Amino acid sequence: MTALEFDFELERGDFSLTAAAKLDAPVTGVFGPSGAGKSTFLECLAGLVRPTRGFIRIGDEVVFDSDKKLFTPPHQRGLGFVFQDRRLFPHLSVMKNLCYGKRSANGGATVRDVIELFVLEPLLERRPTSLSGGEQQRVALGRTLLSNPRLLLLDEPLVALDQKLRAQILPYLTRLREATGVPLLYVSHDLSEILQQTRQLLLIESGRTTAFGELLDLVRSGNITHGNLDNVLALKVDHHDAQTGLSFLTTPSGSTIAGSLVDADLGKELHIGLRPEDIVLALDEVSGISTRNQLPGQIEALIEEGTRVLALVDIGIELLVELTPGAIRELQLEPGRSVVCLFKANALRYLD
Amino acid sequence: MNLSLTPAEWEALALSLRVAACSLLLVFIPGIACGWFLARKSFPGKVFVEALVHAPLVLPPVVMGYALLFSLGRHGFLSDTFFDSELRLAFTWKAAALASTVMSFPLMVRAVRLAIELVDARLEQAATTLGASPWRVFWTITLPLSLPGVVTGSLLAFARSLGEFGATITFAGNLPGETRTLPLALFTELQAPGGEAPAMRLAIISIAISLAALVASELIARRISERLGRSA
Repeated sequence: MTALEFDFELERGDFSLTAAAKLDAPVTGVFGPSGAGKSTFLECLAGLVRPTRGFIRIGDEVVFDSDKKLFTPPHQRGLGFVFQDRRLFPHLSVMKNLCYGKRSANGGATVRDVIELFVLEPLLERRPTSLSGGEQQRVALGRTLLSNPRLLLLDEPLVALDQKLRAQILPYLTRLREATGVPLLYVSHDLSEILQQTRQLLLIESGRTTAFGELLDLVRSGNITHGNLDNVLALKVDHHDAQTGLSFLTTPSGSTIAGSLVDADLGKELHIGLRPEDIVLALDEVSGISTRNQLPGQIEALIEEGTRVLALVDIGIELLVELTPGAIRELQLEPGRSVVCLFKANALRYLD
Repeated sequence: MNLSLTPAEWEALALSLRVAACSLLLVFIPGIACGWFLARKSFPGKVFVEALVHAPLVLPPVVMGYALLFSLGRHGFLSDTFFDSELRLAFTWKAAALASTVMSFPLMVRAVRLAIELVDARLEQAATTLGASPWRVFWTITLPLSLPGVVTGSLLAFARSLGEFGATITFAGNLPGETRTLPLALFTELQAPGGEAPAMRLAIISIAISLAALVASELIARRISERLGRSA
């Protein structure tokens, strides 16, 4: 079943938003630069802003249809909205904030579940104003989850947090995703942040949804032209070697990748960032080189994008590699060609 | 100076308190509703509604009293239309309460409106996305967060009613025991020879009541602010 379908336009002063897509992934990342209209897009879905024309369907219920003059007010849409600025109620305790929209009678998460999931027990009696940014975010997530939404909208959930807090919140987002099974729209201007949650994307650029689909399809069709592309991989910790200062991780297809030593339990799944410009392509294995990782693969596609070319290389998983047109010509790279991907162990970035 | 009150002065004091309390009751809910409406809704002709609500602040009170007499007096056009001329409102204590209500209404509206405008509308949005109806949003978010303004507005309205003179004397007259409130009694004493001492007593009582109301509202507002999690 399609989780969400819409085709609408909003005109407001000199700002306009045109959005159309059919989304059915469990998690869809809404990606676009700041000021592209991502927040307004969410506000339209939630009913906080009324589009000028078009329709919006959530699950099997149409909540907005300008032709039929249908507009379901926000409190009847059953959407959960986690705002960028969290919007906890300052006059209520954390516990009362959590229970404000409680609708767990029909089988959603219970207060106990949520308190446990987001580790809120020690905060329950406190006022929101006395909480840190990360604590506030956890309360906001819990409060929204307790309203038993049928679709969750997360607007830049990490934006106001520093690097350390981000790392603290990320596991909660993953828990949220896994615990609820509620379809989720994850809005961010940071592609690697989204890619840790999903590879299904909806792109928004200057007030217009430009494309939606799987990351690599969007790269292939040349739709992702802005922002820093990133390879985000989920790898399992295989073993550590303190002497060489390396941790070895395995890909789902069984190849082993070496990264700098990381403090993580064996068997744990870690999200890894690997920038396309940090990977080197060679035609054969290279000996006498300090680079720790040499993974054989095959070029699937070459995507030209102005002065850079992106190669999509299948090494069991798909990697994006950034090259110059000159390198393509010199090595005579083309789809189907066998190559070796080289990258340093410390090019791996541990994201969580 | 003898500070003990004569029976007539006691009467004036009791009447004043009754009129002010009544007028506060009458002003309370409509004032909050109107303040919310002006703070949160925009509609064509809003500026005229605002002007109408605030008119008693800028018009001479005697003009307001005359307008009341003209519309709700013995043969006022509203009394004739709606009450079959049976309405005996003018020149009763109820008329004094109504005059005070009209005069203090804009003060209540203004205070509530300012307080509601300061309530972050984004919190109200958050509440609606959590499934709260507009009615519930008002009761659980807007009203609690604007309570200090409601208290201030109530004080202003109450004090204005205690001090109301012009509209009262025009619409309700100056009948001892019926419509002679503290300010009217004070005025009357001053008109009579040898009335300086009673006038002084009445002035002191007025000041005492006003100060007490001010202190009480300040204490309440402070307690509410603390409950709202702000520093007072």
